[in-house]
Amino acid sequence: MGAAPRPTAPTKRWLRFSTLLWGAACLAFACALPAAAQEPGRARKSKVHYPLSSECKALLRAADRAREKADFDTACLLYRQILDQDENWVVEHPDVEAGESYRLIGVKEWAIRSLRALPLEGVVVWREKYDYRARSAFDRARAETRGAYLALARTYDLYPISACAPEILELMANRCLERGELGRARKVLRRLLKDHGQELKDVDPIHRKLLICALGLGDPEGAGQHAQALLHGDERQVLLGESLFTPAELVAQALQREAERTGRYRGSAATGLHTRGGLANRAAYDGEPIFGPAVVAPYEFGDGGAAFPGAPSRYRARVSGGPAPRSLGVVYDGQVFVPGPDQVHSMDLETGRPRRHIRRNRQRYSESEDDNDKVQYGACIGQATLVASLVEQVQRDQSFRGIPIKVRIPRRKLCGFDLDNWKWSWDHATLLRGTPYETWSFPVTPTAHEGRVYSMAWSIEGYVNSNAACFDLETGEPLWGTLIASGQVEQTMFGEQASEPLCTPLALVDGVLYVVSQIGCVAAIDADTGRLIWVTEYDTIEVRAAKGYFPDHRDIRWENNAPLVEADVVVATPLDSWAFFGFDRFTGKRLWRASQRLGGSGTEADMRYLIGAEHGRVVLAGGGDVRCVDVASGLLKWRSSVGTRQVAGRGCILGGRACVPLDDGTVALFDLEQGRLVGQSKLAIPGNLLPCGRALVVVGSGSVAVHRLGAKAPGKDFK
Amino acid sequence: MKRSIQLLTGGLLFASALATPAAAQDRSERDGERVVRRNQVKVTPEARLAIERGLDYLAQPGRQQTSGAYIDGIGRKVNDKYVHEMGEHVGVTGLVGMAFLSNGSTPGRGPYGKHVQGCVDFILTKVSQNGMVKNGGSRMYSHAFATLFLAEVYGMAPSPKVRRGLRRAIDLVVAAQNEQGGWRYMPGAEDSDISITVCQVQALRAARNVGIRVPAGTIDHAIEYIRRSYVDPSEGNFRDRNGFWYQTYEHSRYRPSRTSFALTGAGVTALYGAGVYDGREIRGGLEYLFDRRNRPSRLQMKHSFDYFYGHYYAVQAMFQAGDGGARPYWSQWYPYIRDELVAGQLPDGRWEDYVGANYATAMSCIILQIPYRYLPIFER
Repeated sequence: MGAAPRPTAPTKRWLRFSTLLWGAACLAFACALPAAAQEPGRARKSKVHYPLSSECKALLRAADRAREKADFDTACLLYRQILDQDENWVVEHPDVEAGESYRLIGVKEWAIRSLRALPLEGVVVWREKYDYRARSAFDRARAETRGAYLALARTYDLYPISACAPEILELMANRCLERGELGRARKVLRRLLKDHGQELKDVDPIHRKLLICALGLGDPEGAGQHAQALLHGDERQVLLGESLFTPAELVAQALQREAERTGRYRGSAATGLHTRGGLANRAAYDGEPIFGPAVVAPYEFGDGGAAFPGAPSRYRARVSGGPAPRSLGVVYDGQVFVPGPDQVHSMDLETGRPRRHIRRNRQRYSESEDDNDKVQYGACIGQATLVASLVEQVQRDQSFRGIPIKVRIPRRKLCGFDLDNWKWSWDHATLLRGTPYETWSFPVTPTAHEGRVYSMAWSIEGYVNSNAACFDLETGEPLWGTLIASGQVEQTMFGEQASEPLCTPLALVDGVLYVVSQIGCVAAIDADTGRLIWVTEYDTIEVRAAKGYFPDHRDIRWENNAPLVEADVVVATPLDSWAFFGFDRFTGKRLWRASQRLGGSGTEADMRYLIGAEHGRVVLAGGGDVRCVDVASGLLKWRSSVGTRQVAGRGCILGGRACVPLDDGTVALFDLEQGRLVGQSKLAIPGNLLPCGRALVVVGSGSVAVHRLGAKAPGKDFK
Repeated sequence: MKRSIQLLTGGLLFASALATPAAAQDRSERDGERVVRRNQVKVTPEARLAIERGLDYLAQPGRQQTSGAYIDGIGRKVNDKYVHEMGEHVGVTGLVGMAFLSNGSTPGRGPYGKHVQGCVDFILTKVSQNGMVKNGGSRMYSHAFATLFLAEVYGMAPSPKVRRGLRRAIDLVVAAQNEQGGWRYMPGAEDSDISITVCQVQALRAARNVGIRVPAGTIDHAIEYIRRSYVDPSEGNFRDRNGFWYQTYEHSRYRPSRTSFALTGAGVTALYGAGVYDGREIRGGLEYLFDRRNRPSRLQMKHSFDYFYGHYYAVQAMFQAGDGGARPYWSQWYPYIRDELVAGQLPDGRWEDYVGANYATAMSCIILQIPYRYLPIFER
């Protein structure tokens, strides 16, 4: 009584049978998965449309098989076909593991990597077949008077293992050094040493050039390494120019330059450019951040600007703290520039006195009209040219009995302004007319670097395309444009886009652009030629069909943050996701995914701002707290609260402290190691923080304040 | 026993001898009927003249732009209006090209070869980076018509350039199919409707016919969607029975959705295009189309945007149904629409509707020329 009856023999048999049945079913399902995954349109859930090429995939696989069988003739022929493609196709990455997120590789990247992995016999075959073509292409590229670097870079991509490849790279590096483009020169010289080092008779000139680059760019590790490489026998000093230096002296020079350029403490990993405005905005400050008295200057956009916390928005998500001020300033030559939708304000950095506004007499568009608060206003400066994204024209809204057909979508174009002569240099509204870039819009802060401007852009061709583009900084002429992926955002019931598509600033590290498409993927692009290196998908917020007659807007919670590259990990906070991600910067493999509410619970607010990264840690803030995440694992390191106050703008990392602006007009300072609140100071206004030399620029909505760094204001600091 | 077998055999022979003239008579009657039907399903001299005048209208100097494009209204249906802007229309250019192809001209060959070549050139320049064939505010309708045209051109006169463009356009159609199995105004949209779905299915079918790979899963998924759109006689109100919903009932933002002559023509044609040649949906849909109550009248020709569109699909449905089904669909349908179109032609050779004269004329010419069977997509 009471004991459960033991299963009888038939029941046992039935259990065994059903277990077997389940096993078989699971096995069948597992076997069916890969087949189903290959069938587009059915199995793969991704809604992103990539420039995929099944033909290229077949060619590459056949080429790899031929290479494995030592049939180099066929392999070279097939790789040649891939490199001769005009389009930037991608294919599924060959090394994707089970359960990994969808990952793609550029076909040319695959071909170039495979060619570099060819054994010597294969290289000989390639050279017999294609060296004559490579030489002739090299001669043509060398003869180019304009855009010679781009022509050479393209030639190298076409013939990466030809006999003249080292020559091409050396010429490219020399062209860069002549123009003072040290970052680009360093990339080329590193490539030369890595892939063609054995073919060089003497590597000393290359090390010497690399040393010059390291000194100029403020790269102490590079300086030390190349200085050591130049020491032969018992030599203790390196001849540079007409002087002799010890490696220690050279490292010290590089350290000083690094501090001037990046404002980072020693020992931190290499970082990308500060995308808010190029080099000028990361000038050194390495002391404890103490904020001195402020100079405040008001500015107005169009109809009088908008009161903090931001203009009324159709798209505002239900997040606490209100939207951040949309303008990101940029500092150059003692002036602060604050861009808006249709003009750029300029003020004296010392006095706050307004200077002449930079206005393009085309489309007047006020900030309150421009009601998508995820579109940020930014500008960058390089070679005395300010590049800003200003509204060119606006697609007017259209409705039928109150049902929206089309909504107001501004089209923004880049324009270059010569700050030395105070006049417009170029304007894409006219320059790009009749080109494929005519319909592209650039609602984002561009990045200026060594004579080029890089920017993300959207275009609508049925799908919303996410593109990256590169222009000549001096003339504004397009150098390349790359389609990354296409997808769909919210639509009206008439199939028109129901909101302006979004773009995010990009990160440029070691000649590679890291971009977040905002339609479901992150990509790496070669900055020289626009060649796609890898593309990896992430989880997105669902885009739903219109509810009734009205579009169903996604609940976008992140602020528009540029991706960061720290310790070889690309950290992205995509606007179209409720998570953030870490990707391997070389392969694109997703290393981790963390929820936007990481470490939070209940009704606590999500993180919204990517404050910065240092020492392998990423600091994020939002709502009422600040969190730090380990960049290698995505795990929470620490979490600190700011009490009842709310984070109210983009912070920064300064002097080893995370500086977070709050809505009561204070800035809270957190120790990066433990997350302790080590101080807080009153700012003149709440807003986005922009450190610049010994000044901290605060860009609020409607006014700008400049605080002196390191100068304590008596009675005002309540640390 | 032997005798009884002889009697039986004799009886059977006698019976068969009596029966033979009757069977022969039946057969000759059926043959006679077919001959009569075949005579009905022909392009009459009046229709031939109408086609010539229509095509000449499209080939008039200046009508085709230097880019190769045809200009018509690019826009959308808003309630009962067609809101549009005039522009170089990829969809209309594709349809005009198909009208010329239906007459036997191919790129660079035949009386309208130059014009076909112009259409091909224009469409190929409008294949965007992501594969969408687009100009101005055109949408998936235009993409599908342009893609269908490229597929037909490739089938009649293969060239690598056309194949490249076609491949990309088809890749986009495949990628743009949504979870419901259908398509909508823009690629990647979450909802679908039967009207756009049929255009895409036809483009896929045409591409598959000429050797472009189309995943079987895409077609199967589309068939499921189209079947779900069918209004079973046991559901819906009397007017909608056997028709095809504009949007499937469960996903429609309007409850209930609607059926119409054009949508039902589209539904049946889509099933044929997807390789489904029989089933209750096809039988029911054909009956719905045959039921004259819901058919647009000739008077609506000029003042609508879907008269030609509806008949373009209805005539294809009837053509595919042929005369072997429950009714002699084709032989009864074609003479009716042929005469109606001939009667509706304007003196200068064009037809006209809200979308524009080029569109209406191209559609009419395609419909009238179906018996020529020059286009691979109009093969049974």
